[in-house]
Amino acid sequence: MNVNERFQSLRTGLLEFLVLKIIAAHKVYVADILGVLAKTDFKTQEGTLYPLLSRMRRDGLLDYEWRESETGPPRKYYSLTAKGEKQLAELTEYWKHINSTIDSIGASYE
Amino acid sequence: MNKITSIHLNGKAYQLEEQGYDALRAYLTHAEKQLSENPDKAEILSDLEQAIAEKCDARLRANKDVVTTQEVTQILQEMGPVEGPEKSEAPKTEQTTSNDAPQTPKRLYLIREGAMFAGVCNGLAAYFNLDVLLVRLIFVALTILTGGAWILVYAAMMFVVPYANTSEERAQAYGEAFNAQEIVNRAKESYSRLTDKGRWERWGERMSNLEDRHRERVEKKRDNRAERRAARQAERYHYRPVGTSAFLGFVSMVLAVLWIAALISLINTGAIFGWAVTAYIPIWLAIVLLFIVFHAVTGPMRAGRWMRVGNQWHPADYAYDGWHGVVDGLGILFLVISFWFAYTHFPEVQSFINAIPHQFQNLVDSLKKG
Repeated sequence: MNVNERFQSLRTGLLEFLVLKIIAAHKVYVADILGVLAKTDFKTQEGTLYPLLSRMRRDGLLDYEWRESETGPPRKYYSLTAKGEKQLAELTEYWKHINSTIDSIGASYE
Repeated sequence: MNKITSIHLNGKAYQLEEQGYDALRAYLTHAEKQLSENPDKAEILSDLEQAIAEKCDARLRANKDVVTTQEVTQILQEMGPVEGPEKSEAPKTEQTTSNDAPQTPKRLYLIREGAMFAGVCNGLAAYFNLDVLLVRLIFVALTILTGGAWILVYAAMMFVVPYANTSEERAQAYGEAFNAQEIVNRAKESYSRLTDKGRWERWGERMSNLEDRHRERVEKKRDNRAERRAARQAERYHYRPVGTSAFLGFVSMVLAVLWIAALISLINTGAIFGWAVTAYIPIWLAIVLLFIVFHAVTGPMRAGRWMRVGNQWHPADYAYDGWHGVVDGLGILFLVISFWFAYTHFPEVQSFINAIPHQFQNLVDSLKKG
């Protein structure tokens, strides 16, 4: 089992956090989200992302609006709700906390 | 040349090759099953359709208006499997174990693709997992050996064995789905659960107006599938060919043909395929030996073919084990020998037998006169 496989479940768990971050930066369309993730280790497919987005919307973290597109039918553009923003802030805070914990463990043992 | 199927994805028409359509339908059916608990099911499915539609658009140009099977497979791979709300790691493994292996039973079909004539050799090659060339060589060799009689076997198979027309049948011919394999396999299972008419209709509506002709085809297929399932079920409670059984069946069929040919050749010319047996032994002994050899070889084969499923031998069932072959052979041998003995030792019997053609002639004559 290589490093990549070892962290598979960790990445899966972090996906929601990343999606929140992406949406927080811009109003995005699903293909944009996939495009951002595709360049990273968090490469994701529609089959996973759509159910995730729908659940996050049900949890009240995000919402979407329809926008016309030049090439085809209208598209859903996602944005964060207040609850989503709050969640993102909490997660970011916690992530920093975990990071510093990981960094400090062992190193600070003096 | 491939059949194409028209579909609508979120209101826009697309033309897909038939196998591509099957794979897409399987994918969406699987998605629907995965999302069955999800309150936003309809919305997610429509999003997925939209995404697929856009991927199709990207592959179409001014002079290319059909999405090929390969492209559909590619699109579905890009989409990735739809996962249920709770990560379905556990149910997935459960699914694979509970689906007892013969979900896609191998069946013998004629395969048109790459066929020389009717696809018999092609189908057999797929069935036995052999090279087509090898199967063809065997057929040619057998045709020469049997002085052309083997062609009848080919002709018989041509009429008896069905063509693999749908991609599902083709998958069965090879014993596996060769297209978006896993998706099709899994979807097939969920597809069969969609037996409730109401649900099916709603699904049809949601897929937005598949053409009527198409729906008919799908429903017919579903009926066929139900029939086949029932047949399989019935089979399971009786005898089921096991392991290499089909191969054994094929071999014993070949042997039977060879044997009959040998018998005829022996009686007519006193030689088996040019080998003048009667120079060494009397013809009756040759015939008897032919019987014994045939039964000694095919008996165990027949027994092997119809081994019971599982280890239980139900007392009410007729257990055809290896000994039956030998016993059958001995029985026939006994008959032949006693007949021969009677014929040679009892002049009455001999004259009776010899008189049969004469008597028969008399009978025919008297009928003619009457």
